[in-house]
Amino acid sequence: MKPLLEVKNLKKYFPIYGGVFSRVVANVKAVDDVSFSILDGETLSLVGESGSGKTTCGKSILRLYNATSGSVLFDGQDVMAMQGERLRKMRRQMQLIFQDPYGSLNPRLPVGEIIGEPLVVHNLATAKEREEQVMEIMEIVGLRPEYLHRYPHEFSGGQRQRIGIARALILQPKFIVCDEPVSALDVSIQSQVINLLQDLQEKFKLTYLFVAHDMAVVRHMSTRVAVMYLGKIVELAPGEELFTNPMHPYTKALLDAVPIPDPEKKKQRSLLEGDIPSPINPPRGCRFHTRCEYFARNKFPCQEGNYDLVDVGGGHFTACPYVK
Amino acid sequence: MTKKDSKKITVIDNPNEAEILSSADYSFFSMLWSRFRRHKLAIVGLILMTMMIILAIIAPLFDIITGYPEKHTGLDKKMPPFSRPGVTVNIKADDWQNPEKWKSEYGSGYKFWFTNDEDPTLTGYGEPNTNTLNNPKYREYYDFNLKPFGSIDLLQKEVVFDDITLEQEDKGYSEFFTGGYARIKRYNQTGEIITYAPPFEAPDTSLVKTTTGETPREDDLGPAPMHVLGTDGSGHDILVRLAWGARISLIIAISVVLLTAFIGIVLGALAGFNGAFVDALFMRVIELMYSIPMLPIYMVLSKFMGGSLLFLILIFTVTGWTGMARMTRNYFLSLKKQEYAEAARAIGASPARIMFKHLLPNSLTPIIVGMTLSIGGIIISESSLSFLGFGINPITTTTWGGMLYEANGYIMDQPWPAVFSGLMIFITVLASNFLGDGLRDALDPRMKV
Amino acid sequence: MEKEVILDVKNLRTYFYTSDGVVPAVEDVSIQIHKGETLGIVGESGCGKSQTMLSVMRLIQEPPGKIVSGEILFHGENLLKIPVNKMRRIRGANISMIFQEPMTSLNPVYQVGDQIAESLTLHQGLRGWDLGYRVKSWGMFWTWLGMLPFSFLAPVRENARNLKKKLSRLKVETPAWQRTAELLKDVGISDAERRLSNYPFEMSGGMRQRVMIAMAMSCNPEILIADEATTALDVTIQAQILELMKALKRKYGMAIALITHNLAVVAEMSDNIAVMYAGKIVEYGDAMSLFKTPMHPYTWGLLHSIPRVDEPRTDGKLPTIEGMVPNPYNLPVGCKFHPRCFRATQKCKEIEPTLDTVNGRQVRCWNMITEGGN
Repeated sequence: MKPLLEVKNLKKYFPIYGGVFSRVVANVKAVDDVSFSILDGETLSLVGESGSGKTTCGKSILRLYNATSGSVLFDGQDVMAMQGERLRKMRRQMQLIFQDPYGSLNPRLPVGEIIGEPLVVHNLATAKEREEQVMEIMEIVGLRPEYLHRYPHEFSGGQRQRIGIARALILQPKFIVCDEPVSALDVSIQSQVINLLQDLQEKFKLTYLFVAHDMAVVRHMSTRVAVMYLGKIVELAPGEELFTNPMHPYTKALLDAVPIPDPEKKKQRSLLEGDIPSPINPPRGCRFHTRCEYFARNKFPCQEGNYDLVDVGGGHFTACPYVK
Repeated sequence: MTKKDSKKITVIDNPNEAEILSSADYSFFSMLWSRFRRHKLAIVGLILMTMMIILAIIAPLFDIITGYPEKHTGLDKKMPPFSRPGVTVNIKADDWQNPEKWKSEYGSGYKFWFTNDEDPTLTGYGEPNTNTLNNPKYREYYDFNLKPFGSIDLLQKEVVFDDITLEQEDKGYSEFFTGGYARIKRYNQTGEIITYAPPFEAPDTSLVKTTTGETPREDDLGPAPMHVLGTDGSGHDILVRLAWGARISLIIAISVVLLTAFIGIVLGALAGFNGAFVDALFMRVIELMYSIPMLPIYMVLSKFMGGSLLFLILIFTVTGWTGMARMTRNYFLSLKKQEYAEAARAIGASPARIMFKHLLPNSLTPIIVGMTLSIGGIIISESSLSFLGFGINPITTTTWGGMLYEANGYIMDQPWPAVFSGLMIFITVLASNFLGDGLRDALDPRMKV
Repeated sequence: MEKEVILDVKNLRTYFYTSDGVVPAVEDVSIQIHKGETLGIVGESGCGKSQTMLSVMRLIQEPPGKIVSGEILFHGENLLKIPVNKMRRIRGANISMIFQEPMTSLNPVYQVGDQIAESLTLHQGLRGWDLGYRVKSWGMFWTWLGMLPFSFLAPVRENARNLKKKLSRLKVETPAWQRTAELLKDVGISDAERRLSNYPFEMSGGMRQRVMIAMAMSCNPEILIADEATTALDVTIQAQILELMKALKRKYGMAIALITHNLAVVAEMSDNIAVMYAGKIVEYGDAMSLFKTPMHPYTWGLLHSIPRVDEPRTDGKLPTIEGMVPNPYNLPVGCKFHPRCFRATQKCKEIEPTLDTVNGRQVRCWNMITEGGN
């Protein structure tokens, strides 16, 4: 089955200017040669900590950043090469749900206008039709349609996130990048929004790229999971498989570090030492080797060479050839 | 999404949520107003500003209210507040003999009423002439306070005459100096007084003659209107001039503010939003503008332009747009990074739409505050220029600064023209500052519920 | 084994008086912290957990907030009644607090060593970079400067070099900084002596949080209050910080009040847990049994609605708690949770439930979930 989205060798570097003539002195290698594909109707989660590049990756796919190199094929067409009107049309198929329910809504516009704006931008409906569609979508996401004249600050965090979701849905896209959609919400609201996202996926046959750092949410939502570290994917596996059989040392450490809401399962951890290195000057060879306990113990040749994903069968890919 | 397919997801929200949100239907302006209301000074500023605007609008009415037009060549120069027009002349005895001296010392245009106690029919009006002046009878020094009206008693009290025999002139007028002239009700084109009335009840109006030979009407006779705030050096009523001055000052302030805002916002928005090269270019232009001494250039050119109002507005706009532009540009640079701007891009909005529909309304806060505060600044600048003599032509147009310029010469003796016009400037600038501060507090910090 | 109670909060009420109304941020809260135990205070935004501990520290902004009533007994002494300067001595020394955003809790213009040493000089009287040292450093500097013109002479050069070295080490050798270096080692920062002269912007988030912990630990407090201390950190860094806190607790016998909304963190760290909702305690008891058999419907709902990383994915939807956290200006009548509660009865809508003790657990509910319940 042909994937809906194919990302090939995506790179996004942010230049750092310095010197007298503002030359590029260094690059923040936010996304460094990332490739994956997403099938229609599935949810691929992109997991990682700060500096992993997951958000940048998601936004680059949507052309909110212009990628430094690489290609993104959406339904067979290269998104990176598109310009102008074609790009605008493409945007109707690919949408984004933001992390921050407070910042992502213009505080000066009533929510009806916020949700309806995509229709205005793409000239898809008259004012009356717009209002109808907005009210319809508000009901679908669980908001009262009467509130479309209210302003964002009158809503709670969870409701604002629903407004953001409504805005993303109104163009009936096929593909949605969810950028940490629940991390800014209260615990009791998170489950509501997670359920909503899953319901919507079922109803409208959506495909999600779910960017997150909360492993528990990821396990619940994902068909497949990709783990990122310092701009590279270090492991890619089907949802459950990643959690039951993690192979890459970073994935193992990550799962080890996640606390469990059960006092009986108190952990004896093997702690990950040190801090995440800077993406400006990532470690040579395998980027994780500086913190990897396997490297420290066994002295594998991790400092040299290129570590791309290797297929270990069953749709499971890992970047570490030494540890299983 | 047709109605058919939308199998509804249960409304997950709490039915009680209606209470939660019903506390107020907050729109931007009602929130703004309720927060603004809390600052007493801001309300004061608003009231004062409104009063100034009303004053400016109804300036022509002031002519009617006070009875004096904006410009008239009055004889009552430099009179204190609450005075009525009249002529105070200290006539020294010696000067009676010297009509030329009289004219040069006291100016021409003083006219006097003449009357004869014994024969009231012999009443008239005219200038002191050679005959009068050469009259050896008036050897003593008399202070004549030729005030317009009051009762006859008062007048008679002030005039100290002992036995003076009056010689009749060949025209039949006696030379008994009393009263000045009274209610100035009608003017001709050049503002000369054409109606006079005796300072006392004339037994018969037919006895009263005007210089143009008319008989004054009944209702022309009456007390001269008071100069509430006094007169300036040219004899114009100060209150009326202040009102007309308000017009000019506010016109200048508002038009400059609007023009600089328009130019500044558009350019600043483009610079801030596009960043990089456009922004760098923009900043260089701004720096260039700052390095050119605009005001001295204006001062030189204004003389050639003859103190035209439009030229002043032009120069102020050209010097002033940089402030607004820089501020807008800074705001846009930071707002650009806000998530809702990114969201708009994700939807596919064009840069123009993002700039004007999303970023601009959110940057209104400093823009509005800046505009309000700059009203005060512009008024001060204009007044300063006029005070220095470089402003709008004070002869043709009344401005507060022009009044200051004119009043400066005699500020030690007659301070009131300067005081009042200065006070107007002060009040207006203060009002704009209060208003600006109040708006700033009301608009910022953003409410975050 | 009943450990000694060092902090006993009784019926604390803290209200905020705003122009839009009165917010009962902390309403009738009673908790105890025993020596060496970790108390987890759990709740969502607006439930009052931070305000409770800020009240304990008397750090509430007086207008608009006010501690209206209640007692806070620290070793038997009511903290609300002692004079301000005595409270200041307790704050930082006996009870200290760390906050969520290490970015903003540290002053960006001072070196990290200075900030920690400040606490030491204030509370423990250790000699810091005071006037004496400054004068000495001045003297050394000018002496060095005076030596420069003669640097063509070898012995002079040698002396000058030594002097310069001593000068740069002078600050680090003050007693306060020495102790600070020890503290930084204690919290797991390697190369501590060099880190002392770093500025906050030169350090990563995890390291800054460690500095905060070092600052809080500097005077060996009996209670460490951690207000969402790991919420802003990456999960691997969070694990490091949590382990650090556990180690410090073991080493110094310190009690911890852990304020968080993360149930997993609280499960791992706490001995006792207090669950708060809309300013009140709704459930309070020991961690093990609370997680095993939650009795208040809110606690029950929370525990069941969070997705699990250690359990296989379920195909159904997550159980949820309906509705939203109530508006503090417009709290519901009766039980504050009843609009969202799946076990609400008529009584719940009218009368506020009292905090009852059942099987060693305090629960505020008319219809609590007992063994064998729903």
